[in-house]
Amino acid sequence: MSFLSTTWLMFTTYLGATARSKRMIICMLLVLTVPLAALLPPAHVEAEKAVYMIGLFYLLQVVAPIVGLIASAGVLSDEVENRTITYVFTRPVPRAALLLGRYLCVLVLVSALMAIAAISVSSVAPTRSATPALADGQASRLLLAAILGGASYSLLLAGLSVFFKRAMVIGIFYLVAMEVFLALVPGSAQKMSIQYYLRGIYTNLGAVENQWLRDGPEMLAGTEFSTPTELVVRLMLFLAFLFGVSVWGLRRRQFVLTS
Amino acid sequence: MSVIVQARELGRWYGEVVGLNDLSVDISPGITGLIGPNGAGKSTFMKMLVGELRPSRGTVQVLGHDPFANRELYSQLGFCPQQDALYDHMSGHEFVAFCMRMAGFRKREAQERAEEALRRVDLTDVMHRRCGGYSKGMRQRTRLAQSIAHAPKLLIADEPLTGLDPVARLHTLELFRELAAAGTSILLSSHVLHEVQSLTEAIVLIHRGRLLAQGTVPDIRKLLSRIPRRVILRAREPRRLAEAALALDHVDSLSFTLDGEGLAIETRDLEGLCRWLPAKASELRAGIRSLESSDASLEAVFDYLVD
Repeated sequence: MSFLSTTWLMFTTYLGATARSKRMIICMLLVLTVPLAALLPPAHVEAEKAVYMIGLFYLLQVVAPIVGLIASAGVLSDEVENRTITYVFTRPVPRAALLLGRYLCVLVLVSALMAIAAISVSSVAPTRSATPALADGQASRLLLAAILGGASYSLLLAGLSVFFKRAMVIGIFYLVAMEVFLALVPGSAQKMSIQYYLRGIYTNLGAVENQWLRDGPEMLAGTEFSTPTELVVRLMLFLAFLFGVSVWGLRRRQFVLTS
Repeated sequence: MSVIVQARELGRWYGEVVGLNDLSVDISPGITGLIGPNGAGKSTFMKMLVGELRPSRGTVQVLGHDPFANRELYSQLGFCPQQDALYDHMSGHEFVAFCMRMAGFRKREAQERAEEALRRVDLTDVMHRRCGGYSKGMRQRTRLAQSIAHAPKLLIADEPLTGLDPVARLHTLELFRELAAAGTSILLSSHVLHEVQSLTEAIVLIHRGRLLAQGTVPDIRKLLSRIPRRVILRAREPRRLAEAALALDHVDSLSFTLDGEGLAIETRDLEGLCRWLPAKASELRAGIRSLESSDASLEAVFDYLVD
């Protein structure tokens, strides 16, 4: 069976079960808190600033990583823990197709959730504000950054689960160390985090200067950003590299299943 | 092909635990029973045969292929794992059809094969029910169905009779006979010798990760016959019998039970003793009341051979 047809088979087989899983329900509940957060800023706060703050500090920095991690935690570990991986790995199918097919299920669902979250922030906050106008392209950039955020974090954990039994623990450690602490340090060090790319794509600071943003959140001050297009390309390359490494690992990995 | 499985100095460690140690064995086409007590290394060996594990040392060839992640081999191989794992959200039919899709069949053919395989394991009535609601025996038969539905050249079944009721057990044994008659080679593991001996003469005995013996059931029976068997008889005059039994060559030891009415005899020829006993008891007017013999279990064979 070819790689593509196996991937499609995995995708169609697992999509429904993934959507109904407990993990995805938790993700949905988390995403529901995003429009609620958009209701919090008082009316005198400009909608543009409110959406920037909720987008940067809640949607991209908290919701996207947690949703990505929770949603993809079962990509491989479900098969290993349930010991059903035997049925896939003793069939004439490429092992990588299992990873890609199941990851695509997560990607589709997480993208949908992140899109709902991003659109709800951009729609709800202006209705509460006395100054409802958003910056040019702000809503679409938030949408793009949120989807890319969900995709990046979920692929990261899917990749970790190829190499580690307790990928979730390592994923949480990574989030705290790299995406919380390192990404809050102003300057070039935060380029090692996914947050840097998401912020650059969302704020558009590499293309258009925004003094309020520069003077506002500390982590944006003194940090150089490339244009959103360059950041998207670099992030996609990183994701492709991550997937390649995961596939390489999966082809060599033995999953020791005890009876 | 004269040899379907060839293992040479095969070893597998789980950290400091030895799963398999220096196992060299050739397995020929047909039905072969892999026998050993729990923890002997049967499952480890089978997992290496299906490429789920790589050997820590040594080599293994299945149908002429190195099995680890070998897609060419997997189209000729069926594996029925021991672990009670199924996709519980799927029905039995969906599960087997999914496995057949992975085996390379188109949707329609996969469904037909799934239906046929489930019929062969007597699950037609429940094949559209979710696997999560199946009994242990049904789950075992579903696992078996996915392993035979693509008509493999070699079927590897790890404890396939565990969890089955007597009727299902008979049906499964009959299914194995049918598959073998159709040209499928079968390697099945069990820790119960008599389960396997009704199917095949070819036995591989392993214990503590090592090959103990390989051969036919009569060969294994010879091993069994070498083990001293303990017979306890109760009689009115056990001392007379004891005195006479001392003269028998195959009797290793004699002892009396505490109540003085029981006599324990250890013999290397149980059949000979049973032939000798009635006539002698009658002659000596010993008045035998009961006779018990401990069964020579496979565990006993292993212990005997290892010691």
